[in-house]
Amino acid sequence: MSGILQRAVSQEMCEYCQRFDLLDMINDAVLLVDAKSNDVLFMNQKALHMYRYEQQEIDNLAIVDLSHESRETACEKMQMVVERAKRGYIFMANHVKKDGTLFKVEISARCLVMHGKAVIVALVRDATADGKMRQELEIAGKIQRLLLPEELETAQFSMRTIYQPLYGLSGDLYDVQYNEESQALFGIILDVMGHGIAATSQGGILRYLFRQAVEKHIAVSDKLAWINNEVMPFFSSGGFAAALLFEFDFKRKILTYSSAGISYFLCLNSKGVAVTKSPGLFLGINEKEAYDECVMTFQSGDSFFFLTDGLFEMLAQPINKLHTFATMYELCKNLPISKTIKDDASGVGILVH
Amino acid sequence: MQIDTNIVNNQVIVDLSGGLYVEGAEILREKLIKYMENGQKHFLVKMHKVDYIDSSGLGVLVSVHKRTRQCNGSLVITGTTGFVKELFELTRLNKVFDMQ
Repeated sequence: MSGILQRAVSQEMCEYCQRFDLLDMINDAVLLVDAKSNDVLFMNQKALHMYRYEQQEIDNLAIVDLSHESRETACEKMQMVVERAKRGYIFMANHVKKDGTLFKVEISARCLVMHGKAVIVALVRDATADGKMRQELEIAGKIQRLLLPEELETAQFSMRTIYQPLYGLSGDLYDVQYNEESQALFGIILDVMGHGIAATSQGGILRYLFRQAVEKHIAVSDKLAWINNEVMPFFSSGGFAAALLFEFDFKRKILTYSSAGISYFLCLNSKGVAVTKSPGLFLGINEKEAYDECVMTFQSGDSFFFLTDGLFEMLAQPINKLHTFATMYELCKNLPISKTIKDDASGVGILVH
Repeated sequence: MQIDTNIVNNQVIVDLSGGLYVEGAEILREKLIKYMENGQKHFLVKMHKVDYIDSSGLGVLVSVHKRTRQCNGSLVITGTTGFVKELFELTRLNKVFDMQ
């Protein structure tokens, strides 16, 4: 080999090695895999540590040795990467360490040509923590459901509920407190902005405040204003909540309500279904906000549906006036199942006996 | 939903048209936050051509309003009509925002 050619080859090799050095500096596991044979060509230091292999051991490794899935599945996924070429392909897989430990990984891979050879470059992330987080969220979602009151059947009223979170956790919540002696039913329907952990926590705080507010001998609108003042610090970093607070006085046949951003509810009586407007500013925006209080009378057989906007917006307008409590409840219950929901969808229906 | 933005005299002009639902709201949020991260704090949102807005759309406007308030900025909303105007009135947001 001539001196010039030798220098050119060694320079190329040097650049090649420098590239591998760079890959070793990355704080994520990186694999280079031969797209044809699926043999592992390179594992950076992070990958060697994650899979518990030594540098010299990778010569005999293929991607199927790292995968805990069937040979066909592992090869199919590699083929998918090849087909998508430069667009890249992100997928989940079950992998196995040298010591036999199984773990879930997220792989972000592309197929490139290096020195005339089709090579899959894969960034592998240990997704075990994601799985744990998902499990935690599932448990939190179940706990959240346990906070919801059971459907009620009393001499004065029947209560039916709808609860359909967009994801496992929900920003929607409702709660009721019935006092048999005074025949008064207090209730609240809540829609906290968002669907995640923050919204769930804020919902839990609002539910706690609702229960405290019920005990206070003040007007319904003042209860809502008190809840707003108390909850302000919990919305200081952003967000807000819609709420509607109501009190059914079954002795005097009076419904009193105050709204904070839940702008409509449904009244069903002998005249049919009517949409009632309920104005008011969301909770968590203005301190010392004063809320309107509205009063309406009701009769035996009348019913009411307090819905979050996720459910209300799914109802086709204008609403069929011939609905009964039972048919409206069926419609509200089935809408989040039959239609693609874009928001948490919840509601409380009250039928006066 | 179409979202057009430009900067005039240090104010971000946001021209919206169509219905502002959850998907559009998310894009709007990202755009406005990017402007705020780049130091913009005065916003004018034109809503003449918006025929519908849901709670996620209102949520974005409230969030931006809160953030601009914290940094002595401003959020002005103009041109609400029909259902959108009624929703701003029902939710009393017409008293929170600077509506023109």
